[in-house]
Amino acid sequence: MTRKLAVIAVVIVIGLGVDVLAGAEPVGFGAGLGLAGTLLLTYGSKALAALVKRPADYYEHEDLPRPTGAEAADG
Amino acid sequence: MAETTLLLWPAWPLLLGALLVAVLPRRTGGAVLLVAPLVALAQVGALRAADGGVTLAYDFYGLELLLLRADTLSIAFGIVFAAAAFLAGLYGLTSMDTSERATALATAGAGLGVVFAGDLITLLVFWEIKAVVTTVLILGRRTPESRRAAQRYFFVHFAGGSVLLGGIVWHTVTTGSTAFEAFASTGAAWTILVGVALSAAIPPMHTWLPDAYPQAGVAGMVFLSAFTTKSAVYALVRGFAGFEVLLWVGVIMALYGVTYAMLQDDIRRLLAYHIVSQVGFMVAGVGVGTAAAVNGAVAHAFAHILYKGLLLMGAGALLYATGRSLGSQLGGLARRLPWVLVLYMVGAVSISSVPLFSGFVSKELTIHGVSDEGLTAALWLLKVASVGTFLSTALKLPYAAWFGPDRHQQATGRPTRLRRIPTTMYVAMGLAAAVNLAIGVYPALLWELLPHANDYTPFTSYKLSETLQLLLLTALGFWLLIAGLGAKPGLNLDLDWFHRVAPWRLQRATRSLWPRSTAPEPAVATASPTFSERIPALVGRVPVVGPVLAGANRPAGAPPPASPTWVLGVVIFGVSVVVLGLSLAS
Repeated sequence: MTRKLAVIAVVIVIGLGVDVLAGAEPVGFGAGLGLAGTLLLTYGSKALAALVKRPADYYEHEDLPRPTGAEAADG
Repeated sequence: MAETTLLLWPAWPLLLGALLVAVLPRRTGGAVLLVAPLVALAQVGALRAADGGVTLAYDFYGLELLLLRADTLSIAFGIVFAAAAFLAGLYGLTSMDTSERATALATAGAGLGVVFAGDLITLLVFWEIKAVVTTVLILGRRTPESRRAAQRYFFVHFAGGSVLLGGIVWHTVTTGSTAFEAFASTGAAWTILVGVALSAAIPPMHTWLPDAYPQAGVAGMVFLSAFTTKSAVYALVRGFAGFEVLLWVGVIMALYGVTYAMLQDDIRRLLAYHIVSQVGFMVAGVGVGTAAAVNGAVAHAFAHILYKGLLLMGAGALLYATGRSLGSQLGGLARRLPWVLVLYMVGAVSISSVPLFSGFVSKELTIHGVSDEGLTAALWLLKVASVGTFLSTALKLPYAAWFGPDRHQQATGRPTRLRRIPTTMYVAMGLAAAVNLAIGVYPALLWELLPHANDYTPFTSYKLSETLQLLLLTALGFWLLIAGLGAKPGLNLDLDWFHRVAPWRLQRATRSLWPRSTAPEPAVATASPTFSERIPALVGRVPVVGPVLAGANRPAGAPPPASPTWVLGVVIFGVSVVVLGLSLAS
């Protein structure tokens, strides 16, 4: 984990430098949004998944969720 | 002159082709499947060469209607529809049976009928044809799941079509015009918008899409993706540009789609949620309504048909080869299906807005239209949606299917058995990838087709730096969180609760209104039943409502007499009749 965080830190620093050279405004927008968006969507979707667990009778009338998932392509 | 113009109407080769495919031998039908879209493409090219302005009117009970209206907007959609029909037909040449081939061509023909319709009546006719043939296309996979999904799909689209009809009648009565042009903000226009929004899969009316699309055959889903929501996007661009509410509806769609896509295990359902998200970008562009934003919406629809088609072809090839579409049951296929991986990744980087691929130029143009109006919050949220797109289509899905461990081997001890993928599938994916790359490298190819003049340049140092950083940090975030991002089996509740659980509960509620018989059924009938004794059985045969009513007296323990789908049908039918009645009364 520490190694991964170190790599990310180095990439962010390089990205900021490139932004300054490219005249980007605001500096670090892409890097910040990429990392923050990933965290937000990852944990946001996990929270959503906990909220929207299917009720007991969801798909009760059908054979879902499929026990094996095996599906024949094109019938 | 009229006959000459009729020859240029791009829908007829596809509709005629659908009939021919249904009756001709399979080999000849295959040729028709490929030639008909090429003829349509040539016709659209001829209309473009005529520099727009081509129309074909016909008389309908005293109303002069326009079967064909060719302008830059309809020609842009016409070109990509015809091209998509050819690519999807080539892809499904081997896998589709005769009925799928016929309904696929009819779907394409109806889509072209919609985009070249010059009035609301003609639009409605092709809209409804499209709803019917796409239902049959979903049925074409011939599984119990596809049958039930097709039923739900039909009922939902029947409701949407009824609302659309109500709005069109209302509009025609109040304005005296059937012309399909930009609408003013009237009650009739908003009613039409609701009907169109359902086909565009705008939440909360989107659940039919991830429900039905993954149940179609591998090529059927490619056809559905190209024609259903994009016909609705065309209608939004034509009629509702500048309706401000659509900006925020689009932003919500973009985020909603990617968030739910993150939760999906089924790779085709994941991609179906991304259709919702990507259509959100287009809807946002329509909502802004400026020339740049409308150009962005049209460009993104054009590119989306191509790259989403490629993504679905790749996912379909996986399903075709392995018989499985759940990420939690795939894995370890990078060495065994390398070309499917390469071609899928072209689609994945296109949808993720990687520079030099089609999605980059079209999405940047849309976002440019939003940022030009100073809509900073919307801009940021659309960028977050872009992060989610890259995360799930270009990282999570390929990792689960190609790079992760072979979960089938882990579960059974045997590697996944692969069915040989036909060459035509590879050729279709290769052509789609080439077009995506060509548009990404040379965006002027796309700019020339847009409805407004466009000189936007996406390849600035700032744009490239921002985009590459966004993608790189998203990839590193995935690397950081990879343990928690793997595919997990199971389904998550969406607003399809209203499709699937509510009717079931309503069915139980209606049953509880009548006492259920607990008397055992006679083992042997001793005499012919009287008429009154036969009433429950007769009622049970009445379509739609009968099984529900008859279910009140079914013996304890007997299987339910009616599926919730039919209860849903009754509810939707009732709502549709009320809406139509109100429209006519007004």
